[in-house]
Amino acid sequence: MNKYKKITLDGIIFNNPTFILVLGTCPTLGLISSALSALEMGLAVIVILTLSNVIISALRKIIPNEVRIPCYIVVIATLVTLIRMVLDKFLPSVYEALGGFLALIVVNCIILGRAEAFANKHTVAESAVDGVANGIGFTLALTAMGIICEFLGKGSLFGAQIMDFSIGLFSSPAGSFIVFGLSICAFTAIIDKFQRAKRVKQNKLARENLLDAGNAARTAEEGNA
Amino acid sequence: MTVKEFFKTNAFKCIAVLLSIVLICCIALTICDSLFEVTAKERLDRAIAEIYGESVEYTVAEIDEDKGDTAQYSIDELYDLSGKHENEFLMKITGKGGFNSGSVTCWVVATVSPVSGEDGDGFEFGGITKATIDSNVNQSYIHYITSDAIQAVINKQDGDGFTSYDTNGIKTGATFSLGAIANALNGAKEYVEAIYCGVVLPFDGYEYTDKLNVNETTVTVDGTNVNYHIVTNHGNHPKPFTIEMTVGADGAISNYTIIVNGSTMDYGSDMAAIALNMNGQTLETLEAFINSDGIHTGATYSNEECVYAGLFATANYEKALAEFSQGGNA
Repeated sequence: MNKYKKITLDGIIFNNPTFILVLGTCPTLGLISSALSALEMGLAVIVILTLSNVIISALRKIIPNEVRIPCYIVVIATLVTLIRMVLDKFLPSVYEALGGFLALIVVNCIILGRAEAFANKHTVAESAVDGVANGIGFTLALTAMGIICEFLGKGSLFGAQIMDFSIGLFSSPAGSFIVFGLSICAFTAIIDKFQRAKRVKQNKLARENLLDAGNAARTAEEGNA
Repeated sequence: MTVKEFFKTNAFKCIAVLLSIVLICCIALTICDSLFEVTAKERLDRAIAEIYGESVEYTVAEIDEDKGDTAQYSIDELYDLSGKHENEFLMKITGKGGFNSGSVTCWVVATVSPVSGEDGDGFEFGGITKATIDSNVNQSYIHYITSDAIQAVINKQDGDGFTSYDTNGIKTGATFSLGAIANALNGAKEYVEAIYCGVVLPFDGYEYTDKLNVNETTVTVDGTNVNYHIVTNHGNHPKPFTIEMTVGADGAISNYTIIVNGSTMDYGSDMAAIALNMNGQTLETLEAFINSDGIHTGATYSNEECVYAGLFATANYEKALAEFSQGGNA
């Protein structure tokens, strides 16, 4: 498989930072009561994660191992501050909607986690792809849960009221926690089923190949005899 | 180790790299800060665009120092609108008492209406027509507060002002933040009434009135005893308390009865104990208590309301005795 395709699929699906690695839980629980806020947070994380991965990957041969974590934190904090400035200047409504969670991206485990686990061992291009993929994975997860929470909690989708019925619990962090837990269950079950099916298929193929090889060997022996 | 050797060590490399990265980041942030700075004028234009959807004529109005900063709110900017928005005031006002001792700053449009009376022409408070959030301090769930929730608080104004807590049925998930917004709206109302409508609030000049509903609080004098019927304001957490209290010539509380327990939880028995403890307290003991940071009971906000009611009663004994000794009632 193409390595970029593998990095992308890992980031979005097989190592999804929200559902599989359970990283970035604080903004997840805080923001998924609104689908729009969840989407906006996800987009901000994509930008910051990609840039931090690129910068850290570019500097990986310069930064000594002993001070790598402080260096990563400085880079990430700078990027988050920059994004805050840009949003406050050009997208004030997004800046206000994300509130304190925007500043908390500095301590989002996904950003530091990808810097430590991937960017400091891979090339700039690979790190950029990894940043975008993980950011997309995070965004999709948050938005999907945001849609569920907002629909159940407020009867609306992306702010547009579509029904009067609502369950207040799902507008609160407690409701978000329930949806988060159930989403992890569902996602893990689907991935597990998919991987089992893949394994069964691979085993079947391997068995068939083995049988074919055995048959071929037997035929060859009979031919020789 | 020689100096030359030190410069070749890994320790030096670590320090040099870390400091270089910090320096580069600082320079980048400084440049971006000046590039992306949002000026006060821009913020004002944004607020006007959000509220009116068009540019409006305005002049900067001076803020009265005494009335413009209280325990509940502070007015940061004030603009007197003209043209087709005559008799409207655009205020940037910070409501205090939010979550984690934070605050919410809002842009609020307050209106006045011309009235004619025996004393000549004047103005009366017309209402709050619009409010939007500008910024906040420590309000983690500010994004829960939609424009509809703010409008609901504005629409539910009663004679005493704006309330936010569940007495109004407005549930956002950010109760404290909405309480701070209600404080901002009440501040705008109070300020406009006091400065532009000439309304003198009851107990003007009295101490410890911040947590009081001054319109519903009454005082009577019986000999040297001053009897208070105190109603606290809505605040953002407890519902209003109604407390009856007597302060004697020695300046101590001789009777303290909680008539309506405004605590949001089932702290009924605790409230009775608090009322009992308030008997015999003086201004000095209550001030020492409130400044000692000693109120951590599980019903802290309710307790504060009760103690501040006692502070109001004891601090203003002489003044109330003089003012109401003719049988007057505020």
